[in-house]
Amino acid sequence: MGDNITQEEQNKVTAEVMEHMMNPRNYGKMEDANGVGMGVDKKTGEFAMVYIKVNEAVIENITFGCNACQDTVVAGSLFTEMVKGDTLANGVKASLIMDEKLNIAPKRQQACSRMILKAFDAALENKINRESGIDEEIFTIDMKESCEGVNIS
Amino acid sequence: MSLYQTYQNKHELWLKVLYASFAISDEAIKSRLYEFSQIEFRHLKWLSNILKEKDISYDYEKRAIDIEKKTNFNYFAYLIDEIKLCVKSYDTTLALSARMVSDEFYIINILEEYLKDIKNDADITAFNRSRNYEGKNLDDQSRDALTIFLFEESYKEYELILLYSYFQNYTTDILQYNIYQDMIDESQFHLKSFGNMQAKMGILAIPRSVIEQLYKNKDIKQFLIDGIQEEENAKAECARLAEAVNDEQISKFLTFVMFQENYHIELMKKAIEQFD
Repeated sequence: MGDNITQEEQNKVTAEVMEHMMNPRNYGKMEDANGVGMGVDKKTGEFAMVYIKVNEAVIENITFGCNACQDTVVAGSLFTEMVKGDTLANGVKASLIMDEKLNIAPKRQQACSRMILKAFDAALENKINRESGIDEEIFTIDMKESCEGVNIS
Repeated sequence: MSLYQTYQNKHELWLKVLYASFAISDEAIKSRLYEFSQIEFRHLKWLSNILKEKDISYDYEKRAIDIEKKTNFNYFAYLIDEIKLCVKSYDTTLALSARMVSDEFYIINILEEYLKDIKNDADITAFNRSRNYEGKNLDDQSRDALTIFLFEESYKEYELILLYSYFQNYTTDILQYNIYQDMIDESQFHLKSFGNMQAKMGILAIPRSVIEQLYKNKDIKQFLIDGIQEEENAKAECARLAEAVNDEQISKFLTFVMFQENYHIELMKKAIEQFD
């Protein structure tokens, strides 16, 4: 389905996307995070990081950083805006909905945007591990699909 | 105030002056501000050297910077305030501080002179998000492709300036030091070109922060090897965009950038040889 989208459609820049490109929200390292996760595309070396601070099942703060393209930046900005201040349960739900919605995007955009969702999953995993006493600075999840639009074997 | 904090202030000040030079249309003021931004960049380099000598770790984190000013006069007043704030953070026991203050008093003086003449004021269009390239008639497809290209590449050049500066600060090899300097100069030129193009389209924005995983505890040889592939990709992207954009002048510029990537690759190969 996503493969039928032309290069022109893929590059379409809406006013909302433009705003997130000019001023990405919640970008940068968080020193007092209690969950840090990374989504990595081993084929291209691109990666995204998500930092979360969860208190009593509420996402008090969430930030991200990445070494990736503008698709990842826009996805990170939109996603963190969406879940910041919401409950953890709603954050997980939002991640699943965004993941499903990405199915209609071109393959490359899917992989680049999902890197943020994988980093969020990894941050949740890291939080659980830290709470169970594991000394772990960061949890990493490798992407199944590459930003180059191919499966990683 | 800590030396690291002064360093972070200086990093932010360099960007504030640099992006003011992109935002302002008057060619004489633009050129002057660009020169001043290069002075600030050299201050940054010297400060990083002192941090290294004192064995203090530093990074490229920065706080949110609001550069979206409406007029030249707003910008001049903003820069004067920001420079004064930065000066307040200097450690007066450092010999470098006196030199930086001397440079910055001169910059403030020039900005104050600008403010005295109403002819120096003008509306700033660099942030209006129009995406109509000044003086060009781009079709929608060209406009979208060029927008994405400018965001990707302006970030990339900013990232390379900082990464090569970091590697340069920690190398003991003279040849490598010189190669990194050439790469920094090249990226400064490209960032200037892309920043001015962004301003002409009304989409000027300071690049996002460069995360520390990209330069700390890095296998530099591998970084350079991967970098050659990235330069090849950038060449292909410039060629594709030069073909897609319906404007001869912009296409020629992109083709020029594409050929420049060839000697970046040669410089990187030369740097790799120094690791063998």
